Amino acid sequence: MLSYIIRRLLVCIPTVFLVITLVFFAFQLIPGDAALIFAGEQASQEQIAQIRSDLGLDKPVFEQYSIYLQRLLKGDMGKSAITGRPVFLEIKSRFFNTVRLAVVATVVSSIFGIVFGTISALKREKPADYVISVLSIFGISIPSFWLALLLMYFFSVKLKLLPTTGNASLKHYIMPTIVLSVYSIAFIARMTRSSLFEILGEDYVRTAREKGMKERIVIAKHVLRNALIPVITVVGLQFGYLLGGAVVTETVFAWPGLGRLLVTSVEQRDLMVVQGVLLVFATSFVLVNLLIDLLYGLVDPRIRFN
Amino acid sequence: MDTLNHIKNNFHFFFKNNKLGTIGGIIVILFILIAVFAPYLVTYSPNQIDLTSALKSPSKGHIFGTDNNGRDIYTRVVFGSRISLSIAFISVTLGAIIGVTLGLLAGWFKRSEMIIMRLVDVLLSFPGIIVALTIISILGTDVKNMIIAVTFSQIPQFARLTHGQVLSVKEREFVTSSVTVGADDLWIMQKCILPNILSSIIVQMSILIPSAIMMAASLSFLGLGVRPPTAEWGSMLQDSVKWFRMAPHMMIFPGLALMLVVFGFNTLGDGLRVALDPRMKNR
Repeated sequence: MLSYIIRRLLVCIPTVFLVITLVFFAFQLIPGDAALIFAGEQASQEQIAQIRSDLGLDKPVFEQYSIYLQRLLKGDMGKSAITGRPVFLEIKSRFFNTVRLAVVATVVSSIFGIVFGTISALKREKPADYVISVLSIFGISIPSFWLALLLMYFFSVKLKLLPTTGNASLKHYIMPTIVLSVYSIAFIARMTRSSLFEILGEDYVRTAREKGMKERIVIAKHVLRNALIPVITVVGLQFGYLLGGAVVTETVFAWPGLGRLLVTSVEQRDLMVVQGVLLVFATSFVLVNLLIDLLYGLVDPRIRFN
Repeated sequence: MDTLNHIKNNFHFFFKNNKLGTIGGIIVILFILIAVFAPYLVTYSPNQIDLTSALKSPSKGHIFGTDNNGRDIYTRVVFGSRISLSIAFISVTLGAIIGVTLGLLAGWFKRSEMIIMRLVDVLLSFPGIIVALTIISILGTDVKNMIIAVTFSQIPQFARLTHGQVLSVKEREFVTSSVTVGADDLWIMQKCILPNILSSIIVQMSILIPSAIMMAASLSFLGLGVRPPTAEWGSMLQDSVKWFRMAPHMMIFPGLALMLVVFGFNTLGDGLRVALDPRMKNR
Protein backbone atom coordinates (compact mmCIF):
# COMPACT_ATOMS: atom_id res chain seq x y z
CA MET A 1 0.00 0.00 0.00
CA LEU A 2 2.79 2.42 0.89
CA SER A 3 4.43 2.09 -2.51
CA TYR A 4 1.03 2.65 -4.10
CA ILE A 5 0.55 5.88 -2.14
CA ILE A 6 4.01 7.10 -3.08
CA ARG A 7 3.45 6.26 -6.73
CA ARG A 8 0.17 8.18 -6.79
CA LEU A 9 1.72 11.16 -5.03
CA LEU A 10 4.56 11.29 -7.54
CA VAL A 11 2.07 11.36 -10.42
CA CYS A 12 0.38 14.40 -8.85
CA ILE A 13 3.42 16.64 -8.95
CA PRO A 14 3.82 16.84 -12.73
CA THR A 15 0.07 17.32 -13.09
CA VAL A 16 0.02 20.33 -10.78
CA PHE A 17 3.09 21.65 -12.56
CA LEU A 18 1.42 21.17 -15.93
CA VAL A 19 -1.68 23.05 -14.77
CA ILE A 20 0.42 25.93 -13.45
CA THR A 21 2.26 26.08 -16.77
CA LEU A 22 -0.97 25.85 -18.75
CA VAL A 23 -2.54 28.72 -16.80
CA PHE A 24 0.57 30.84 -17.29
CA PHE A 25 0.70 30.35 -21.04
CA ALA A 26 -3.07 30.70 -21.42
CA PHE A 27 -2.83 34.14 -19.85
CA GLN A 28 -0.07 35.00 -22.32
CA LEU A 29 -2.77 34.93 -24.98
CA ILE A 30 -4.55 37.97 -23.57
CA PRO A 31 -4.76 40.57 -26.30
CA GLY A 32 -3.24 43.95 -25.42
CA ASP A 33 -0.74 45.19 -22.84
CA ALA A 34 -0.72 42.63 -20.02
CA ALA A 35 0.47 45.14 -17.39
CA LEU A 36 -2.44 47.41 -18.18
CA ILE A 37 -4.94 44.58 -17.95
CA PHE A 38 -3.51 43.05 -14.79
CA ALA A 39 -3.44 46.44 -13.09
CA GLY A 40 -7.11 47.10 -13.84
CA GLU A 41 -8.91 50.09 -15.29
CA GLN A 42 -8.41 52.47 -12.38
CA ALA A 43 -4.66 51.93 -12.06
CA SER A 44 -2.25 54.85 -12.09
CA GLN A 45 0.88 54.99 -14.26
CA GLU A 46 3.06 54.05 -11.25
CA GLN A 47 0.93 51.03 -10.42
CA ILE A 48 1.14 49.81 -13.99
CA ALA A 49 4.90 50.30 -14.00
CA GLN A 50 5.10 48.50 -10.66
CA ILE A 51 3.23 45.48 -12.02
CA ARG A 52 5.30 45.49 -15.17
CA SER A 53 8.49 45.21 -13.15
CA ASP A 54 7.01 42.80 -10.55
CA LEU A 55 5.91 40.34 -13.21
CA GLY A 56 8.87 41.03 -15.46
CA LEU A 57 6.50 41.80 -18.32
CA ASP A 58 9.22 43.66 -20.23
CA LYS A 59 11.37 40.51 -20.24
CA PRO A 60 11.22 37.50 -22.59
CA VAL A 61 8.41 34.99 -21.99
CA PHE A 62 10.57 32.32 -20.42
CA GLU A 63 12.06 34.74 -17.94
CA GLN A 64 8.52 35.85 -17.05
CA TYR A 65 7.65 32.21 -16.55
CA SER A 66 10.50 31.68 -14.13
CA ILE A 67 9.57 34.84 -12.20
CA TYR A 68 5.99 33.54 -12.05
CA LEU A 69 7.11 30.19 -10.67
CA GLN A 70 9.36 31.80 -8.07
CA ARG A 71 6.53 34.05 -6.91
CA LEU A 72 4.16 31.12 -6.63
CA LEU A 73 6.70 29.19 -4.56
CA LYS A 74 6.70 32.09 -2.11
CA GLY A 75 2.88 32.00 -2.06
CA ASP A 76 2.70 35.36 -3.83
CA MET A 77 -0.22 35.41 -6.27
CA GLY A 78 -0.22 39.16 -6.84
CA LYS A 79 -2.77 41.77 -5.80
CA SER A 80 -6.40 42.24 -6.76
CA ALA A 81 -6.83 45.13 -9.17
CA ILE A 82 -10.19 45.97 -7.59
CA THR A 83 -9.64 45.74 -3.83
CA GLY A 84 -5.85 46.05 -3.79
CA ARG A 85 -5.62 43.20 -1.31
CA PRO A 86 -3.25 40.28 -1.91
CA VAL A 87 -4.96 37.53 -3.94
CA PHE A 88 -3.86 34.97 -1.36
CA LEU A 89 -5.96 36.70 1.34
CA GLU A 90 -8.96 37.11 -0.97
CA ILE A 91 -8.90 33.38 -1.60
CA LYS A 92 -8.14 32.31 1.94
CA SER A 93 -11.22 34.01 3.36
CA ARG A 94 -13.50 32.24 0.87
CA PHE A 95 -11.92 28.86 0.30
CA PHE A 96 -13.42 27.11 3.32
CA ASN A 97 -16.92 28.42 2.61
CA THR A 98 -16.79 26.64 -0.72
CA VAL A 99 -15.29 23.46 0.71
CA ARG A 100 -17.85 23.30 3.52
CA LEU A 101 -20.73 23.58 1.06
CA ALA A 102 -19.19 21.01 -1.28
CA VAL A 103 -18.59 18.54 1.56
CA VAL A 104 -22.17 18.85 2.83
CA ALA A 105 -23.51 18.43 -0.70
CA THR A 106 -21.27 15.43 -1.37
CA VAL A 107 -22.46 13.66 1.79
CA VAL A 108 -26.11 14.41 1.03
CA SER A 109 -25.87 13.35 -2.60
CA SER A 110 -23.96 10.14 -1.85
CA ILE A 111 -26.52 9.00 0.71
CA PHE A 112 -29.57 9.77 -1.42
CA GLY A 113 -27.92 8.69 -4.66
CA ILE A 114 -26.84 5.30 -3.36
CA VAL A 115 -30.18 4.65 -1.64
CA PHE A 116 -32.24 5.58 -4.70
CA GLY A 117 -29.92 3.69 -7.04
CA THR A 118 -30.14 0.55 -4.90
CA ILE A 119 -33.92 0.68 -4.66
CA SER A 120 -34.11 1.19 -8.40
CA ALA A 121 -31.86 -1.80 -9.13
CA LEU A 122 -33.56 -4.17 -6.70
CA LYS A 123 -37.03 -3.24 -7.97
CA ARG A 124 -35.95 -3.50 -11.58
CA GLU A 125 -38.71 -2.78 -14.11
CA LYS A 126 -41.20 -2.14 -11.32
CA PRO A 127 -42.97 1.19 -10.70
CA ALA A 128 -40.36 2.32 -8.13
CA ASP A 129 -37.60 1.82 -10.71
CA TYR A 130 -39.48 3.78 -13.36
CA VAL A 131 -40.24 6.65 -11.01
CA ILE A 132 -36.62 6.90 -9.85
CA SER A 133 -35.28 6.61 -13.40
CA VAL A 134 -37.51 9.35 -14.77
CA LEU A 135 -36.83 11.56 -11.75
CA SER A 136 -33.11 11.14 -12.22
CA ILE A 137 -33.29 12.24 -15.84
CA PHE A 138 -35.19 15.31 -14.62
CA GLY A 139 -32.56 15.80 -11.94
CA ILE A 140 -29.85 15.82 -14.57
CA SER A 141 -31.85 18.11 -16.86
CA ILE A 142 -33.00 20.82 -14.46
CA PRO A 143 -30.87 23.97 -14.71
CA SER A 144 -29.35 24.58 -11.29
CA PHE A 145 -29.91 28.33 -11.34
CA TRP A 146 -33.55 27.85 -12.25
CA LEU A 147 -34.04 25.36 -9.45
CA ALA A 148 -32.38 27.88 -7.14
CA LEU A 149 -34.81 30.62 -8.21
CA LEU A 150 -37.81 28.32 -7.81
CA LEU A 151 -36.73 27.26 -4.31
CA MET A 152 -36.08 30.87 -3.33
CA TYR A 153 -39.52 31.85 -4.55
CA PHE A 154 -41.35 29.12 -2.64
CA PHE A 155 -39.34 28.88 0.55
CA SER A 156 -38.26 32.47 0.98
CA VAL A 157 -40.84 34.66 -0.71
CA LYS A 158 -44.02 32.59 -0.34
CA LEU A 159 -43.52 30.54 2.81
CA LYS A 160 -40.91 32.84 4.41
CA LEU A 161 -39.17 29.79 5.89
CA LEU A 162 -35.61 30.14 4.62
CA PRO A 163 -33.23 33.06 4.11
CA THR A 164 -32.45 33.83 0.46
CA THR A 165 -28.77 34.76 0.56
CA GLY A 166 -25.66 34.57 2.71
CA ASN A 167 -24.15 31.86 4.87
CA ALA A 168 -24.67 33.04 8.44
CA SER A 169 -26.62 30.11 9.89
CA LEU A 170 -27.35 26.45 9.34
CA LYS A 171 -30.62 27.42 7.64
CA HIS A 172 -28.59 29.14 4.93
CA TYR A 173 -27.12 25.79 3.91
CA ILE A 174 -30.44 24.14 3.03
CA MET A 175 -31.24 25.63 -0.36
CA PRO A 176 -27.68 25.76 -1.76
CA THR A 177 -27.18 22.15 -0.68
CA ILE A 178 -30.37 21.04 -2.44
CA VAL A 179 -29.44 22.93 -5.61
CA LEU A 180 -25.92 21.55 -5.65
CA SER A 181 -26.98 17.99 -4.81
CA VAL A 182 -29.85 17.38 -7.23
CA TYR A 183 -27.64 16.72 -10.23
CA SER A 184 -25.24 14.56 -8.22
CA ILE A 185 -28.01 12.54 -6.57
CA ALA A 186 -29.41 11.75 -10.00
CA PHE A 187 -26.02 10.92 -11.41
CA ILE A 188 -24.93 8.72 -8.49
CA ALA A 189 -28.31 6.95 -8.50
CA ARG A 190 -27.91 6.05 -12.17
CA MET A 191 -24.37 4.81 -11.66
CA THR A 192 -25.32 2.76 -8.61
CA ARG A 193 -28.19 1.19 -10.50
CA SER A 194 -26.13 0.07 -13.48
CA SER A 195 -23.27 -1.06 -11.29
CA LEU A 196 -25.65 -3.18 -9.20
CA PHE A 197 -27.14 -4.73 -12.34
CA GLU A 198 -23.72 -5.87 -13.38
CA ILE A 199 -22.89 -7.46 -10.04
CA LEU A 200 -26.33 -9.08 -9.70
CA GLY A 201 -25.54 -11.12 -12.81
CA GLU A 202 -22.22 -12.43 -11.46
CA ASP A 203 -21.68 -16.13 -10.81
CA TYR A 204 -20.78 -15.68 -7.17
CA VAL A 205 -24.10 -13.99 -6.50
CA ARG A 206 -25.94 -16.92 -8.04
CA THR A 207 -23.84 -19.30 -5.99
CA ALA A 208 -24.59 -17.41 -2.81
CA ARG A 209 -28.30 -17.54 -3.54
CA GLU A 210 -28.26 -21.19 -4.49
CA LYS A 211 -26.52 -22.25 -1.34
CA GLY A 212 -29.56 -20.82 0.46
CA MET A 213 -28.19 -17.56 1.78
CA LYS A 214 -30.82 -15.04 2.78
CA GLU A 215 -31.46 -12.47 0.05
CA ARG A 216 -30.77 -9.62 2.43
CA ILE A 217 -27.34 -10.95 3.26
CA VAL A 218 -26.56 -11.67 -0.39
CA ILE A 219 -27.31 -8.05 -1.21
CA ALA A 220 -25.50 -6.54 1.75
CA LYS A 221 -22.44 -8.78 1.77
CA HIS A 222 -21.85 -9.78 -1.82
CA VAL A 223 -23.59 -7.33 -4.07
CA LEU A 224 -23.40 -3.90 -2.46
CA ARG A 225 -19.80 -4.22 -1.36
CA ASN A 226 -18.66 -4.91 -4.89
CA ALA A 227 -21.11 -2.65 -6.63
CA LEU A 228 -20.07 0.38 -4.61
CA ILE A 229 -16.45 0.29 -5.76
CA PRO A 230 -17.06 2.16 -9.03
CA VAL A 231 -19.51 4.40 -7.18
CA ILE A 232 -16.61 5.69 -5.05
CA THR A 233 -15.01 7.13 -8.16
CA VAL A 234 -18.24 8.79 -9.14
CA VAL A 235 -18.70 10.27 -5.68
CA GLY A 236 -15.14 11.61 -5.82
CA LEU A 237 -15.70 13.06 -9.28
CA GLN A 238 -18.91 14.62 -8.03
CA PHE A 239 -17.00 16.32 -5.25
CA GLY A 240 -14.84 17.94 -7.91
CA TYR A 241 -17.94 18.79 -9.89
CA LEU A 242 -19.54 20.31 -6.79
CA LEU A 243 -16.51 22.51 -6.21
CA GLY A 244 -16.96 23.74 -9.78
CA GLY A 245 -20.76 23.79 -9.61
CA ALA A 246 -20.32 26.26 -6.82
CA VAL A 247 -19.73 28.84 -9.54
CA VAL A 248 -23.42 29.11 -10.37
CA THR A 249 -24.94 28.18 -7.01
CA GLU A 250 -22.77 30.54 -5.00
CA THR A 251 -23.59 33.38 -7.34
CA VAL A 252 -27.36 32.89 -7.04
CA PHE A 253 -27.32 32.57 -3.26
CA ALA A 254 -24.63 35.25 -2.77
CA TRP A 255 -22.54 32.63 -0.97
CA PRO A 256 -19.14 34.14 -0.13
CA GLY A 257 -17.08 31.39 -1.75
CA LEU A 258 -14.47 30.84 -4.44
CA GLY A 259 -16.98 30.25 -7.22
CA ARG A 260 -18.61 33.62 -6.72
CA LEU A 261 -15.20 35.25 -6.43
CA LEU A 262 -14.25 33.69 -9.78
CA VAL A 263 -17.41 34.96 -11.50
CA THR A 264 -17.11 38.51 -10.16
CA SER A 265 -13.41 38.60 -11.04
CA VAL A 266 -14.07 37.42 -14.59
CA GLU A 267 -16.80 40.06 -14.85
CA GLN A 268 -14.51 42.83 -13.61
CA ARG A 269 -11.53 41.38 -15.46
CA ASP A 270 -9.57 41.20 -12.22
CA LEU A 271 -7.18 38.75 -13.81
CA MET A 272 -4.75 38.30 -10.93
CA VAL A 273 -7.61 36.97 -8.83
CA VAL A 274 -8.87 34.81 -11.70
CA GLN A 275 -5.44 33.27 -12.06
CA GLY A 276 -5.18 32.62 -8.32
CA VAL A 277 -8.63 31.06 -8.04
CA LEU A 278 -7.90 28.81 -11.03
CA LEU A 279 -4.72 27.54 -9.44
CA VAL A 280 -6.47 26.83 -6.15
CA PHE A 281 -9.30 25.02 -7.95
CA ALA A 282 -6.81 23.05 -10.03
CA THR A 283 -4.78 21.96 -7.05
CA SER A 284 -7.96 20.95 -5.22
CA PHE A 285 -9.10 18.83 -8.16
CA VAL A 286 -5.75 17.08 -8.33
CA LEU A 287 -5.84 16.41 -4.59
CA VAL A 288 -9.40 15.12 -4.75
CA ASN A 289 -8.43 12.79 -7.58
CA LEU A 290 -5.49 11.58 -5.51
CA LEU A 291 -7.79 10.91 -2.60
CA ILE A 292 -10.16 8.89 -4.81
CA ASP A 293 -7.27 6.85 -6.14
CA LEU A 294 -6.06 6.10 -2.63
CA LEU A 295 -9.52 5.19 -1.42
CA TYR A 296 -9.96 3.02 -4.46
CA GLY A 297 -6.74 1.18 -3.74
CA LEU A 298 -7.87 0.71 -0.17
CA VAL A 299 -11.21 -0.93 -1.00
CA ASP A 300 -10.10 -2.80 -4.08
CA PRO A 301 -6.73 -4.49 -3.62
CA ARG A 302 -6.66 -5.45 -7.31
CA ILE A 303 -5.96 -1.82 -8.23
CA ARG A 304 -2.81 -1.51 -6.13
CA PHE A 305 -0.90 -4.10 -8.11
CA ASN A 306 -1.80 -2.75 -11.48
CA MET B 1 -22.44 3.96 -45.27
CA ASP B 2 -22.16 1.41 -42.59
CA THR B 3 -23.18 3.71 -39.81
CA LEU B 4 -26.28 4.99 -41.52
CA ASN B 5 -27.48 1.46 -42.19
CA HIS B 6 -26.77 0.61 -38.62
CA ILE B 7 -28.88 3.52 -37.46
CA LYS B 8 -31.64 2.65 -39.93
CA ASN B 9 -31.74 -0.97 -38.83
CA ASN B 10 -31.95 0.14 -35.27
CA PHE B 11 -34.54 2.80 -35.92
CA HIS B 12 -37.49 0.49 -35.71
CA PHE B 13 -36.07 -1.23 -32.65
CA PHE B 14 -35.42 2.15 -31.07
CA PHE B 15 -38.94 3.49 -31.36
CA LYS B 16 -40.57 0.24 -30.42
CA ASN B 17 -38.50 -0.42 -27.35
CA ASN B 18 -37.54 2.94 -26.01
CA LYS B 19 -40.53 5.02 -25.05
CA LEU B 20 -38.53 7.59 -23.12
CA GLY B 21 -36.08 7.98 -26.00
CA THR B 22 -39.00 8.47 -28.39
CA ILE B 23 -40.49 11.15 -26.19
CA GLY B 24 -37.07 12.81 -26.06
CA GLY B 25 -36.82 12.66 -29.83
CA ILE B 26 -40.24 14.25 -30.23
CA ILE B 27 -39.35 17.07 -27.82
CA VAL B 28 -36.10 17.72 -29.68
CA ILE B 29 -37.80 17.80 -33.09
CA LEU B 30 -40.47 20.10 -31.69
CA PHE B 31 -37.88 22.56 -30.39
CA ILE B 32 -35.97 22.48 -33.67
CA LEU B 33 -39.22 23.28 -35.51
CA ILE B 34 -39.98 26.08 -33.06
CA ALA B 35 -36.52 27.53 -33.61
CA VAL B 36 -36.78 27.34 -37.40
CA PHE B 37 -40.31 28.75 -37.66
CA ALA B 38 -40.03 31.18 -34.74
CA PRO B 39 -41.21 34.30 -36.65
CA TYR B 40 -44.39 32.51 -37.75
CA LEU B 41 -45.33 31.42 -34.25
CA VAL B 42 -45.53 34.81 -32.63
CA THR B 43 -47.52 38.02 -32.95
CA TYR B 44 -45.07 40.39 -31.23
CA SER B 45 -41.43 41.13 -31.88
CA PRO B 46 -39.01 39.80 -29.24
CA ASN B 47 -37.64 43.23 -28.45
CA GLN B 48 -40.84 45.23 -28.73
CA ILE B 49 -40.98 47.39 -25.59
CA ASP B 50 -44.34 48.48 -24.21
CA LEU B 51 -43.98 49.98 -20.75
CA THR B 52 -47.74 50.39 -20.32
CA SER B 53 -48.12 46.62 -20.12
CA ALA B 54 -44.99 45.80 -18.10
CA LEU B 55 -44.91 42.87 -15.63
CA LYS B 56 -48.34 41.55 -16.62
CA SER B 57 -49.23 38.06 -15.48
CA PRO B 58 -50.13 35.46 -18.13
CA SER B 59 -53.36 36.41 -19.91
CA LYS B 60 -55.06 35.90 -23.27
CA GLY B 61 -53.01 38.58 -25.03
CA HIS B 62 -49.72 37.45 -23.48
CA ILE B 63 -49.98 33.75 -22.64
CA PHE B 64 -46.67 33.72 -20.70
CA GLY B 65 -47.12 37.29 -19.44
CA THR B 66 -44.79 40.24 -20.01
CA ASP B 67 -41.44 41.26 -18.54
CA ASN B 68 -40.34 44.49 -16.86
CA ASN B 69 -40.11 46.21 -20.24
CA GLY B 70 -43.51 44.98 -21.34
CA ARG B 71 -41.97 42.55 -23.82
CA ASP B 72 -43.99 39.41 -24.55
CA ILE B 73 -42.34 36.50 -22.72
CA TYR B 74 -43.82 33.83 -24.99
CA THR B 75 -42.23 35.54 -28.00
CA ARG B 76 -38.89 35.80 -26.23
CA VAL B 77 -38.98 32.15 -25.15
CA VAL B 78 -39.73 31.09 -28.74
CA PHE B 79 -36.89 33.21 -30.10
CA GLY B 80 -34.61 32.07 -27.29
CA SER B 81 -34.73 28.53 -28.70
CA ARG B 82 -32.90 29.82 -31.79
CA ILE B 83 -29.97 31.13 -29.76
CA SER B 84 -29.67 28.12 -27.46
CA LEU B 85 -29.93 25.50 -30.17
CA SER B 86 -27.62 27.24 -32.60
CA ILE B 87 -24.94 27.90 -29.98
CA ALA B 88 -25.14 24.26 -28.90
CA PHE B 89 -25.00 22.87 -32.45
CA ILE B 90 -22.14 25.16 -33.49
CA SER B 91 -20.03 24.48 -30.43
CA VAL B 92 -20.60 20.73 -30.36
CA THR B 93 -19.85 20.42 -34.08
CA LEU B 94 -16.68 22.49 -33.79
CA GLY B 95 -15.73 20.61 -30.64
CA ALA B 96 -16.26 17.31 -32.44
CA ILE B 97 -14.19 18.33 -35.46
CA ILE B 98 -11.25 19.53 -33.39
CA GLY B 99 -11.54 16.84 -30.73
CA VAL B 100 -11.85 13.96 -33.20
CA THR B 101 -8.85 15.26 -35.16
CA LEU B 102 -6.77 15.43 -31.99
CA GLY B 103 -7.98 11.97 -30.94
CA LEU B 104 -7.10 10.52 -34.35
CA LEU B 105 -3.63 12.04 -34.19
CA ALA B 106 -3.07 10.79 -30.66
CA GLY B 107 -4.36 7.32 -31.46
CA TRP B 108 -2.50 6.88 -34.72
CA PHE B 109 0.81 8.65 -34.20
CA LYS B 110 2.54 7.34 -31.12
CA ARG B 111 4.73 10.41 -30.81
CA SER B 112 1.90 12.89 -30.45
CA GLU B 113 -0.05 10.65 -28.08
CA MET B 114 1.81 11.57 -24.90
CA ILE B 115 1.43 15.34 -25.31
CA ILE B 116 -2.16 15.40 -26.57
CA MET B 117 -3.59 12.93 -24.11
CA ARG B 118 -1.79 14.45 -21.15
CA LEU B 119 -3.36 17.83 -21.96
CA VAL B 120 -6.73 16.18 -22.51
CA ASP B 121 -6.53 14.46 -19.12
CA VAL B 122 -5.70 17.72 -17.38
CA LEU B 123 -8.57 19.54 -19.09
CA LEU B 124 -10.95 16.70 -18.27
CA SER B 125 -10.10 16.88 -14.59
CA PHE B 126 -11.72 20.34 -14.53
CA PRO B 127 -15.47 20.90 -14.60
CA GLY B 128 -16.32 22.30 -18.04
CA ILE B 129 -17.65 25.56 -16.66
CA ILE B 130 -14.28 26.38 -15.07
CA VAL B 131 -12.52 25.80 -18.39
CA ALA B 132 -15.12 28.00 -20.07
CA LEU B 133 -14.73 30.78 -17.48
CA THR B 134 -10.96 30.71 -17.92
CA ILE B 135 -11.31 31.25 -21.64
CA ILE B 136 -13.85 34.03 -21.20
CA SER B 137 -11.61 35.75 -18.67
CA ILE B 138 -8.82 35.72 -21.23
CA LEU B 139 -10.79 36.67 -24.34
CA GLY B 140 -13.41 38.92 -22.73
CA THR B 141 -17.19 38.61 -22.62
CA ASP B 142 -19.19 38.40 -25.80
CA VAL B 143 -21.18 35.80 -27.70
CA LYS B 144 -18.34 34.77 -30.00
CA ASN B 145 -16.04 34.18 -27.05
CA MET B 146 -18.72 32.23 -25.25
CA ILE B 147 -19.05 29.90 -28.25
CA ILE B 148 -15.27 29.45 -28.23
CA ALA B 149 -15.40 28.70 -24.51
CA VAL B 150 -18.20 26.15 -24.81
CA THR B 151 -16.45 24.55 -27.81
CA PHE B 152 -13.25 24.30 -25.86
CA SER B 153 -14.92 22.50 -23.00
CA GLN B 154 -16.18 19.86 -25.49
CA ILE B 155 -12.88 19.18 -27.24
CA PRO B 156 -11.25 16.96 -24.59
CA GLN B 157 -14.31 14.73 -24.38
CA PHE B 158 -14.25 14.03 -28.11
CA ALA B 159 -10.48 13.61 -28.11
CA ARG B 160 -10.55 11.02 -25.35
CA LEU B 161 -13.39 9.04 -26.93
CA THR B 162 -11.76 9.04 -30.37
CA HIS B 163 -8.36 8.14 -28.96
CA GLY B 164 -9.78 5.08 -27.21
CA GLN B 165 -11.73 4.01 -30.28
CA VAL B 166 -8.76 4.41 -32.60
CA LEU B 167 -6.60 2.28 -30.32
CA SER B 168 -9.08 -0.59 -30.58
CA VAL B 169 -9.83 -0.28 -34.31
CA LYS B 170 -6.12 0.03 -35.05
CA GLU B 171 -5.50 -3.60 -34.13
CA ARG B 172 -8.24 -4.93 -36.42
CA GLU B 173 -7.17 -6.91 -39.44
CA PHE B 174 -8.37 -4.56 -42.18
CA VAL B 175 -6.27 -1.79 -40.69
CA THR B 176 -3.11 -3.80 -40.14
CA SER B 177 -3.34 -5.21 -43.66
CA SER B 178 -3.77 -1.69 -45.09
CA VAL B 179 -0.63 -0.69 -43.25
CA THR B 180 1.19 -3.74 -44.63
CA VAL B 181 0.34 -2.94 -48.25
CA GLY B 182 1.64 0.57 -47.69
CA ALA B 183 -1.52 2.69 -47.61
CA ASP B 184 -0.80 6.20 -46.42
CA ASP B 185 -1.90 7.39 -43.00
CA LEU B 186 -4.50 9.86 -44.18
CA TRP B 187 -6.19 7.26 -46.39
CA ILE B 188 -6.35 4.73 -43.56
CA MET B 189 -7.83 7.28 -41.18
CA GLN B 190 -10.45 8.37 -43.69
CA LYS B 191 -11.44 5.01 -45.12
CA CYS B 192 -10.80 2.50 -42.37
CA ILE B 193 -10.90 4.21 -39.02
CA LEU B 194 -13.34 7.10 -39.24
CA PRO B 195 -16.30 5.10 -40.62
CA ASN B 196 -15.88 2.59 -37.83
CA ILE B 197 -15.94 5.11 -35.03
CA LEU B 198 -18.56 7.41 -36.51
CA SER B 199 -21.50 5.95 -34.62
CA SER B 200 -19.87 6.50 -31.24
CA ILE B 201 -19.02 10.06 -32.23
CA ILE B 202 -22.65 10.69 -33.14
CA VAL B 203 -23.80 9.29 -29.81
CA GLN B 204 -21.24 11.45 -28.02
CA MET B 205 -22.52 14.53 -29.87
CA SER B 206 -26.08 13.78 -28.81
CA ILE B 207 -24.88 13.41 -25.22
CA LEU B 208 -22.88 16.65 -25.24
CA ILE B 209 -25.51 18.88 -26.87
CA PRO B 210 -27.58 19.19 -23.68
CA SER B 211 -24.51 20.00 -21.63
CA ALA B 212 -23.54 22.66 -24.18
CA ILE B 213 -27.03 24.17 -24.03
CA MET B 214 -26.87 24.21 -20.24
CA MET B 215 -23.40 25.71 -20.13
CA ALA B 216 -24.27 28.48 -22.59
CA ALA B 217 -27.39 29.31 -20.58
CA SER B 218 -25.43 29.26 -17.31
CA LEU B 219 -22.80 31.62 -18.72
CA SER B 220 -25.49 33.98 -20.00
CA PHE B 221 -27.22 33.77 -16.63
CA LEU B 222 -23.95 34.79 -14.98
CA GLY B 223 -23.80 37.75 -17.37
CA LEU B 224 -20.80 36.34 -19.24
CA GLY B 225 -22.45 35.21 -22.46
CA VAL B 226 -25.39 36.49 -24.46
CA ARG B 227 -26.16 40.01 -23.28
CA PRO B 228 -29.55 41.69 -22.98
CA PRO B 229 -31.64 42.70 -24.86
CA THR B 230 -31.15 39.54 -26.96
CA ALA B 231 -33.83 37.00 -26.09
CA GLU B 232 -31.91 34.13 -24.51
CA TRP B 233 -33.21 31.86 -21.75
CA GLY B 234 -30.26 32.28 -19.39
CA SER B 235 -30.17 36.05 -19.62
CA MET B 236 -33.98 36.21 -19.35
CA LEU B 237 -33.66 34.30 -16.08
CA GLN B 238 -31.00 36.76 -14.95
CA ASP B 239 -33.45 39.61 -15.70
CA SER B 240 -36.17 37.84 -13.74
CA VAL B 241 -34.12 37.84 -10.51
CA LYS B 242 -34.75 41.52 -9.87
CA TRP B 243 -38.50 41.16 -10.34
CA PHE B 244 -39.24 37.78 -8.97
CA ARG B 245 -41.23 38.89 -5.96
CA MET B 246 -43.65 40.82 -8.18
CA ALA B 247 -43.54 38.76 -11.35
CA PRO B 248 -42.63 35.10 -10.77
CA HIS B 249 -43.92 34.22 -14.25
CA MET B 250 -40.82 35.93 -15.65
CA MET B 251 -38.67 33.09 -14.35
CA ILE B 252 -41.06 30.16 -14.84
CA PHE B 253 -41.21 29.95 -18.61
CA PRO B 254 -37.61 30.44 -19.79
CA GLY B 255 -36.48 27.89 -17.18
CA LEU B 256 -39.18 25.45 -18.21
CA ALA B 257 -38.15 25.72 -21.85
CA LEU B 258 -34.51 25.20 -20.95
CA MET B 259 -35.29 22.16 -18.82
CA LEU B 260 -37.55 20.61 -21.47
CA VAL B 261 -35.03 20.92 -24.25
CA VAL B 262 -32.23 19.52 -22.08
CA PHE B 263 -34.51 16.71 -20.92
CA GLY B 264 -35.38 15.92 -24.55
CA PHE B 265 -31.75 15.72 -25.63
CA ASN B 266 -30.77 13.69 -22.56
CA THR B 267 -33.43 11.03 -23.08
CA LEU B 268 -32.78 10.94 -26.82
CA GLY B 269 -29.05 10.57 -26.18
CA ASP B 270 -29.66 7.75 -23.72
CA GLY B 271 -31.90 6.01 -26.23
CA LEU B 272 -29.39 6.40 -29.06
CA ARG B 273 -26.61 5.03 -26.91
CA VAL B 274 -28.64 1.94 -26.16
CA ALA B 275 -29.75 1.52 -29.78
CA LEU B 276 -26.26 1.91 -31.25
CA ASP B 277 -24.47 -0.17 -28.66
CA PRO B 278 -25.45 -3.82 -29.11
CA ARG B 279 -24.04 -4.73 -25.71
CA MET B 280 -26.61 -2.49 -24.03
CA LYS B 281 -29.65 -4.01 -25.70
CA ASN B 282 -30.31 -6.63 -23.12
CA ARG B 283 -29.91 -4.37 -20.18
